[in-house]
Amino acid sequence: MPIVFDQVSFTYEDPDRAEKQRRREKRRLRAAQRAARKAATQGQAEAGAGPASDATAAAPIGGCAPSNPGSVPAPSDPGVSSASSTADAAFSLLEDVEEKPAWGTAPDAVWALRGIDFTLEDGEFFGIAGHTGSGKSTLIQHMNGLVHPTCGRVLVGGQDLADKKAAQALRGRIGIVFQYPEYQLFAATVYDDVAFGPRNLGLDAPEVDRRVRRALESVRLDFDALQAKSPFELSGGQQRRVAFAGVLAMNPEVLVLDEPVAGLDPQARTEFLQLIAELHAQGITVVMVSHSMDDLALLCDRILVLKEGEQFALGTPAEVFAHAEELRAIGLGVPAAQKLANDLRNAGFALPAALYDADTLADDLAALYQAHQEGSHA
Amino acid sequence: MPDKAMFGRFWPGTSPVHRMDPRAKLLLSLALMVATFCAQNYGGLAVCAAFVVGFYAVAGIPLGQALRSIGPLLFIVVVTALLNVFFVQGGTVYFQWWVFCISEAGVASAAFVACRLLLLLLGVSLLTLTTTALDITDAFEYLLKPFARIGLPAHELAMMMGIALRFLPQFAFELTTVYRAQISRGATFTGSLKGRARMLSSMMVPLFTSAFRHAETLSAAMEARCYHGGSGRTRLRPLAYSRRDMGGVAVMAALFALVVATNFLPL
Repeated sequence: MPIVFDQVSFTYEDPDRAEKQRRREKRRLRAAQRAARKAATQGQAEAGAGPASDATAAAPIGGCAPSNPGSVPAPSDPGVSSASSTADAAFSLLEDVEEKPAWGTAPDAVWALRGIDFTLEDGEFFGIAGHTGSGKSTLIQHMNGLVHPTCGRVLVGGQDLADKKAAQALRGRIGIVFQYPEYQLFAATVYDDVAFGPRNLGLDAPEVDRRVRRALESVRLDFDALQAKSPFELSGGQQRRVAFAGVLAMNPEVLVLDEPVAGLDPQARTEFLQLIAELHAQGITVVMVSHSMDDLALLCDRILVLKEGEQFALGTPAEVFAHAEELRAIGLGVPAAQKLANDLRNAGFALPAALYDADTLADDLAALYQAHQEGSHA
Repeated sequence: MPDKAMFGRFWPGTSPVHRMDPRAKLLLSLALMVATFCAQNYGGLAVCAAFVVGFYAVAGIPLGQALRSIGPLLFIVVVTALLNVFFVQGGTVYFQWWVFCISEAGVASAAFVACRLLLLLLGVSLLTLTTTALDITDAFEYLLKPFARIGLPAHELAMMMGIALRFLPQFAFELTTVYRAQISRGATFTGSLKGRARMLSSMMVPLFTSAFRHAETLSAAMEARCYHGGSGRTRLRPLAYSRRDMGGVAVMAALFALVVATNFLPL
């Protein structure tokens, strides 16, 4: 059941309205610019006439362009420069509006996503990286029809998610685990919370029971010890597991995880990532949003990098992390080992592999060192 | 978050309305509410409406924006109107079935009440659109100060109000997230009553736990900054009335005069 993003763009605002407003603002600026230019030429003409008329009135103060011909005085250059500087100000103002980001993102960032186009294949481990506000969370919410693209289509197994019935039917098959999923726990017992999804699917009690058991087991929680407990009595890490089990109990074919290990301690983090890797090994397609390049490099088959809602890079970790400079320019890093490998390669060391983690890099460096030693001995 | 048009959200600006003293604004919007209730006929409401539209124009807030900001509260208008339709009786009967009876007087009063409530909401949202939560809180505290002598905790009340206002958008955002998460787990709003109740609790419980969590974090953060209540506290920007506020009072007085005058017109 591949998920196809076909030229998906999305905006939280009404695009027509936003466009209209932009045009109106631009028009206003153009008018200001024209007025300034007119004033500038006027100023020039008067300045040219100035010396001959030998006027005695004082020069206009500040950056104000002369407006009243009768009172306008001799000093030629200041008049011109002040007027043209107003015009320049208007020009730069116009450019500012067009190019300079207002806060964080570009001004036409009414678009949260622009022209996203890729296919999520079955059984893939797909990573999504990007700076804060680059549209990661918005993107994953397209995957089960929580939000609909403003332009373009999202096809799941050939069905367009714009069709509400199709989207509804597919929700059980695509599980989304939101950021901090433990904040969405609500039921009186762990059992009821995990059973929420299966019950919504309309399954009968024995099947629900089976699913809850299996889900809790696969997140390595003790069913008998925990099932009757309130989820609010558990530790943070356990709560997240319960919330995770709540999605797994739906038996999803695709598991979408938004920052699954955010806010966990290092040990819980490793365990959780292991868990995800295991689920993937069982055949579940996994989409993982993460800030940690190390995690992405370790687990993913392919990585999509977003920049201000646009597809910045898409490829295997080796392909993506080969471009350390570009990634740094958009506020992302590369895995520590890979960064060292890139730097060493730039310094002239012949490192064969395209993607490194700490172990493989250590091995290759050791091999290089050994070769070097033998070379110098010989 | 995306939902820019929300009740209680500040709309930044430098208009005269924005720069008015928050105390004056608070009192004047109370006065506006009273004026709206004083209006006894459509003429009076029209006067109020004209003034409210004028205030929005001066504040530089597009009216469409204002309407969208009160959108979520429109159900109050609808419910009140429906209550009026069914409970006010008199005149020609249009429709009758079982205990339900729709009559001329009911429809008339429903329409009138709906208009009045709409104006009221617009008037109140003008205050929150043009005043930051902090300023409103300050004004509130200042206006409650006289009652502190009889033991009213003015500062604490104001602080509570400020915090409540601050967290409105936060909770709206969290509610959207929880809603989406539960929808992703196959929850639906339609279906059996029991299912719907479960859906509602699946959203409300996370909202309440999140409120408690925020409360604990916030109180810790306040204590860490040595917050100890209102006594001996000084202000960075003391409030001061200006001529602008006098203007506001004059405009409001004119509004009152016109509304009272229209009440005597045969409309």
